[in-house]
Parts: sequence; structure tokens; C-alpha cells
Amino acid sequence: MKVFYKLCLALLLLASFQASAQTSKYKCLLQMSNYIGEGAYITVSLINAKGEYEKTLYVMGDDAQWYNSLKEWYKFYSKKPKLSAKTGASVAGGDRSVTVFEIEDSKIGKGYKLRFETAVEDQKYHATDVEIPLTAEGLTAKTDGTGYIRYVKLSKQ
Amino acid sequence: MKKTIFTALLLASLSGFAQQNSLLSQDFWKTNPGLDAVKAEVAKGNNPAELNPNAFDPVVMAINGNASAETVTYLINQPGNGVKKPTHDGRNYLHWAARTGDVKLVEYLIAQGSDLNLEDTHNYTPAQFAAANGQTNTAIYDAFFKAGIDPKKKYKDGVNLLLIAIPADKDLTLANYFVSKGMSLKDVDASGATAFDYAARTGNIDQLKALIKAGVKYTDQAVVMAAQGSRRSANTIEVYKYLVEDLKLKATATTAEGQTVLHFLARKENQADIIKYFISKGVDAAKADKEGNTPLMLASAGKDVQVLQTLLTGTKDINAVNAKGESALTFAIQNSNAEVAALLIAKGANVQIKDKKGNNLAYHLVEAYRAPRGNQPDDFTAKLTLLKEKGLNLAAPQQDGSTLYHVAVVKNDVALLKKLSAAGIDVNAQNAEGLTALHKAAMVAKDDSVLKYLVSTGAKTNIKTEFDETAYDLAGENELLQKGKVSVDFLK
Repeated sequence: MKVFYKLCLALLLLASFQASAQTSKYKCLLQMSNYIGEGAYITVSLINAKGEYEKTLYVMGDDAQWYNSLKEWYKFYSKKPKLSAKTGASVAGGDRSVTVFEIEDSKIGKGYKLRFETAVEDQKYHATDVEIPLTAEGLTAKTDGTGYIRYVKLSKQ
Repeated sequence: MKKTIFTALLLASLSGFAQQNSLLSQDFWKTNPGLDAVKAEVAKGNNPAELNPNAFDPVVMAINGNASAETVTYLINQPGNGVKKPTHDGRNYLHWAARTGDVKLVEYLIAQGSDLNLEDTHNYTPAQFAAANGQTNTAIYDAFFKAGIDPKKKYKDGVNLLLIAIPADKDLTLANYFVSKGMSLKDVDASGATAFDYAARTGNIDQLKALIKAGVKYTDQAVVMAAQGSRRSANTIEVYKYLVEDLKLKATATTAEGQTVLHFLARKENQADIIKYFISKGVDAAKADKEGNTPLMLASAGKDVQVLQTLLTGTKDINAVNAKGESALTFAIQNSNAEVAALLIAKGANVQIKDKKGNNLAYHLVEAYRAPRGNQPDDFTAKLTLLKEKGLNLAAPQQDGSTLYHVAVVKNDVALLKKLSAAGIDVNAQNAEGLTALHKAAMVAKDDSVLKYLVSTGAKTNIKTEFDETAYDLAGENELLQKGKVSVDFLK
């Protein structure tokens, strides 16, 4: 009985802890440049202060067969190939994707980054096409891409 | 008559432009040009580093055209090339050189630091690519082993070079060489498939018997692998009878993805008799694989009416859908012709079906559009007319608010928009992201033709996106329009 009580208490604590993890929503406009080639596969990942992948926020590209073209992210993904992230279609040259991310407030200003990784069939892979520091400024600025992405613009909802 | 001549001239001049870079022309390499001839072409302005639309560059064309190592080396060292350059299907130059069997070139590329372990999009490293293409020059593999590749290495799915090479290795020369390097004829892949099972892909019965004699076991996987065949070939009914009747292998065997022989046969040409044979042996024509695809769906992407009829007799639900929400009719609308689509509709296929994303068949038709080449029939218009006749509303937006114009502008083809002009679509409709077809066209256009056409049909230029942009703003950011110095002032 005692054990049962303890278990209930633990569960209650856990539930309240999860509810208190405050998150905020950010609208993300991802604008591709007019590169020539097939639609790009793109992942958006949360990178911790040590530079490690912590969470996948968004995957653009429908066919898991091509996930391995996103080489660095794939190393993280293939350890546990199950996606809880949002998924969408691959994005073609010149096109855009608008989506909303939820990010925990506690991660802001702690050295975290949002990494946008891009790959296009038969073309160069960009491990960090765009990288945005998770700071108050970073999350409202327009950041130019270095590969297939023209820019990424975030705005708090 | 005049018009025909004009069109012919126009086509000729267009294709003239497309073939500008002589170093990307197969015909050029067929003439066995020496190094001086190649240098002369470069001097004329032919870019030695240009990629064609399939990502072949002059180096790959030269290797595949069996140019001398001297010529290929010269090209590799031109600006923009180099041993790290990715080409078609994610291959490096070492993949191509290993396939053609040019030992000198392979050794040069390895010495220059080519990545021996680079996997192409089919997960083949250069050594695997050589083996998969039946390269029998053992000196190629010697070069890889000398450079540090472990002959006993197991690749993706647990295959080794012997298993990869065996379908093309009729007299087992390569297999015997690999055995001398430490592999074994009895090696199996991660799923337990044997050298016999792999050899069944090309179905040489003498080779299969020789393998049995050498003590190689056979498993039910041989049946499915025989149906997979190789890229260019299909097996004859004798091969299947040998496997199913002589060796008593299971006709109903499936792959790890849940595919039966019918999933593979349905995609190949002239397989009606073999499909009937397997159905008579108890293979379920309606069985879905793990992605929900049935043989009927796969056959509906083709044009073999006889195969369709055969599969239809074993199908209870013609409207079954795969994981993406696509039915056999969706497959037909995407990839086949109006005749196949009409047949399915006549058998009860639902014309109003929507996929998981809420897109209807007209969306799939436009999304799969490719401009007809040469004398190809206009399947697009025939299928569009059919869908309309059968009651599909072509003017209705998709679930995300996109109209067929939104989907069509991405193809950069005014001819396609004209084919849709009678459908009654609102050219100024905004999708869920607030974009009109004109906005979308301004973002993805390669020239001004589609933009001008949309404006001529009443597209408003003053509508703004949710980020407060007009079509003029979006076109102004379009790098391809900038590069082509295309004026977009007509969008102001």
C-alpha cells in the first residue's frame, strides 16, 4: 500500500512538473533561394550548448529513404529512428514553408541553437545552412542562409 | 504546313542550345577524342565542370565514354572538379571508374584521396558499385583491398561483395576470386538470403544448379528476388517453375517490407502470364505491403490493361488506399493514361477520393504533370477531361486552400495553365498561407512567361501575403529572375 502511495505521489509530481515546463510558440518562415534542382530535404533541430542534437523539431521531405542525405542529423536520427517531430513536404527552389514551433522558455539564453540542415539530390549537402542562437534577439531576427535557404524569419506568436 | 516547319525549326534550335557543352555530349565521347581534342573544346569555352540536369559532368561522361586515364585526369584537375565532387546519384569519380574497370584511373583516384567509403543514394560504395555492375576485372578489387577495404566487410543489410556480384557472375569467376580473398559462397546477408537467392535475380538456371552443387542453400527469398529481377531484365516463367515446382520454394514468400512477387511483377512489362501463374499458386493479388501498396496500385501506374484485368479479378476493394491515402486510381491519374483510369472508374473506383493531406485526384494529376515530349500523346488533357466528365469539380480548392493554379505554376509551363483555363478556377484565390497563384509563381518562376499569363487572365497584383509582400516584392527577391535580368515592373 505504501509503495502504491509513493508511486501515486511520484506520478502526480511528474505530471505537475511537465505542466510547468513553459513553452512559447514561434512562427517560422523558411524561404528557399531559387537554386536549380529537386526539392530540398530539410530538418530543423534543437542543438544544445555542447553542440549536440537534442531534439528534432521539423522534417521537410516525405520519403524516409532520403533521410540519410542529411548526414549529420541522420547520425542522431538513426540511433532511434522514430519521429515525433512535425513533418512536411520537401521545399522546392524559390518556394517557402511556414510553420509554428514550440520551444521551452527555459532553453532561451542557455547556449542552445536552432539548426537548419539541407540536402538536394545530386548536390552539395549543407550541415548548417542556417543556425539561429536561441536568444531573445535571435528569435526575432531574419537570418540569411548559406546554402539552399535564402532566409529564415522567426516571430513570437 | 508552314506551322509544322516553323515548329520543327524552333525545336531544332532549342535542342541546339540544350546541347551547347560538347563535353556533356555522349556523341562527342564516342569519337574517342584524345587529350588535345578535349583541351581544344575547353579552349572554345565548353565548361569542364558543368553538371547536366542529371548531375553528370564532363569527367563522368569521359569515364563512361572510356576516355584515356590521361584525359580524365586532366579534366579532374580543372577548376570546379576534384575528387570530392558529388555527381549523379551521389557518386564520386571513383564509383564511375571502378564500374568501367579502369585500373590506372582507380589507383590514381585512390592516391588523390577519393573517399573509398562514400555511399551513393543506393547505398553503394565504389567497390560495391563495381560488383553490382558485374565488373570482372579483379585488379579493381585488388586496388580497393590494397587501399584498406576489408574483403570480408559486410555492407548495408549485411551483404558482401560476393553476394552483390553474383547475379551477373555467370561462370562464378568473380565468386572464386572473392573466395580466395576470404569470402565464402555460403555467406548470407542479414535476412539470411544466400548466394543462390541473389543469383535468382538474373535467373540463369545453369548457374543456380552449379551453386547448389557447390553446397549453397536456397531459401524462399529466391522467389521474390527472381521477381525483382535486375534493373533492365525480367525472368522467364521457366525460372519461376524451376524454383516453385522443382525446388518446392514458397510462391507466397514476402520481403521484410511485406511485398510478394506480384508487387514486383506488376511494375514490369509483359508479365500477365507470370502473374496468372502466381495467382494460381495462391499468391493474394490484393495483399498490401507495409506501406499499404497493393499489386493493383502498382500496376495502375503502368499501361498493361491485361495485367490490370487479371489483378482486378482478385481484388475485393478497388478503393483500398495506401498509407498516404492513395488508391489504384490515384496511381493511374499520376502515372498512367486515361484508358487505364477509365477502366478503374468503370470497375467502381471513386473519382472523389482525397489523400491523407486532403488533396483530390485533380491535384495529383497536375502535380505529376510533365510536358509531353515529341510525339507523346497528351495524356494530361485526356485524364483531366475524364475526371471532369465523371463529376470531379476542378475549380474546388484542396484542403490547404491551394487551387490547381497554385500547383501548376511550380511547373513553369504556360501550356499547362492554358489546359486548366476552362476549369473555372478563381485565379485570385489565396491558400491557407495567404498566397495567390501569382505570389507562388513570383517565387518559383524561371522567367516571366507564367507571371505575364496569370496577369493577362485577371490575376491581381495588389494582393499581399501574410508577411505583407506583393507579387512584385516576391519576384524582386527571385534570384533566377535577377540573374536573367527579367523586368518585373508589370507586377507593380
